[in-house]
Amino acid sequence: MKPSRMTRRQLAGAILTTAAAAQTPAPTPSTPDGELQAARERNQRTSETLAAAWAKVKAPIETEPAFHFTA
Amino acid sequence: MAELANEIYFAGIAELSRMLLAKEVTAVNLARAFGRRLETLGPRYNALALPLTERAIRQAKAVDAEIDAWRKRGKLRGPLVGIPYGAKDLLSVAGQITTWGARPYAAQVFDHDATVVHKLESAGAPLVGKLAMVELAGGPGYRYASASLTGPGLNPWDRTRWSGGSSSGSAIAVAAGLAPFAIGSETSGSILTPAAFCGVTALRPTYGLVSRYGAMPLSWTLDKLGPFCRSAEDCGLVLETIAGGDRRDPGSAGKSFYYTPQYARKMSELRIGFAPADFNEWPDEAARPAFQQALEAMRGLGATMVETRLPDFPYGSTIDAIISADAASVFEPLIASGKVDELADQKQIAGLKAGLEISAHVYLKAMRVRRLAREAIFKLFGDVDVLLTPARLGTAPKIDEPLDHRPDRARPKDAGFTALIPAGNLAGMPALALPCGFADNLPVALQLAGVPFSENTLLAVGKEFQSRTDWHKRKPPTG
Repeated sequence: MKPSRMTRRQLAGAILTTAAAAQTPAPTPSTPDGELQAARERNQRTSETLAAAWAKVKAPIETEPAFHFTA
Repeated sequence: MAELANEIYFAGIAELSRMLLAKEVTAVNLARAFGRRLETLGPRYNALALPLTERAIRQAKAVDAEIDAWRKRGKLRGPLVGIPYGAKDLLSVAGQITTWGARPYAAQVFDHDATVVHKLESAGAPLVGKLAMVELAGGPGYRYASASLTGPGLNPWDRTRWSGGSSSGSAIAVAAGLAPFAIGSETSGSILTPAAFCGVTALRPTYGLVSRYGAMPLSWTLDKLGPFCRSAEDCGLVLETIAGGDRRDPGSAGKSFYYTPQYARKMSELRIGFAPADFNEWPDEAARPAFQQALEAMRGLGATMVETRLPDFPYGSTIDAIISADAASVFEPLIASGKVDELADQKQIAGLKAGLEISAHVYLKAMRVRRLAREAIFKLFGDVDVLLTPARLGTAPKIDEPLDHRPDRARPKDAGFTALIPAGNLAGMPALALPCGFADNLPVALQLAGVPFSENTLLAVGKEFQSRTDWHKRKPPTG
């Protein structure tokens, strides 16, 4: 696999903005249904943060997931 | 030798070993004394999951016979012969209850020992008890310290404060002198956090260095087992015993570890990376003096201090996605059965259920971001050998405080290494927690992190730091 072509400069700033947004505290839910809804919303924010990071990194298409298997 | 002096409960491994060799104490004495102390004081801190004193005494009897034979040679077979320990209750011990800290598994029994338990038994270390933990090692996240079958882990320095988790009992046991060392686990912060809050030294090894066979899985590419001890040196001795390849762990790196302080690089040859903001802007105000003094003490070791910062990635979101999806898959039968609702923490219950809905493309994106993040982090190590930052930015929270509550204050511009816990776990890096001072009479700690398999370097820096400070020797008032 070729080394990735992103630079630290490419990553700076923009990703932090999305990461900070994802850390905004939400009010504490008081019911199980409210908790489940809050968990789904956290997952949605996580997904959006990752998508924004991915878009900004402009990662090479061959970037493989960080799985590690031994034969 | 019926009663042991209080100091013995806080002695390091080398000192206990010397006493065994000198016949000042026997392995049975130690197993009985630590076992009874764990049974008596463990519940005071909600630290004990299962006492195993009688089992430990049986182990110790065999060890004493061996010590007698080895004494003629003037040394013992290994450093842990006759040294009692405790294990986080996510490690299986054949025929004994293993609860994973969670009510749905309160009666669970395995027919085999975890590899770590087997290795320690082979090394002559008697297991005095299973130690309390946050339910399911924290799963995809929890809100309250009470998220445990045994109740909230109470901090030996102040029982109105949390011990930290998820390896709560492991940290408490070492801090309160209930065991000379303990085994815990970390997926993201579960060793470093309780070590920092309880003021003990602990090592999160490189991913794959210690077999997880027989340990509860939470996230397959993140889970790691490591020691809580009285010093960096003791962490090296325990790691040497528990490390090693294991075909039964698919994540095993197939490597051994030899603790070699005699071959440590000179401090003057090392470069320690740090971010000033981590010490003078990010910590809670009460903790800043301790961290700044610790930074100065670290400078005094003679290493070159290099200002640097962590590459910008959404480490928290990346690790959240991976852990949530993995944990939901691991515990899918629990969720499907409805027994998930028996867990203590509502946030954890909801997180597990919602984790089943994380799509493959989000999971894969997280794992691809992880690949890039890891490459960027490893580039840092072209300039430095070790990274240094506070392990946690403040002291242990109050026992009933929501753990996902963040103080409403301005965030410094420089992120420094505040995300080093998720970043280091994503990258499979080893890390060492070193007690470094107190704030409001509660311990605070440093974190040293390095490239995979650099444990000897981290331990060498830790040992040098601890030769010049005595924070790791402090005892809680109740001890």
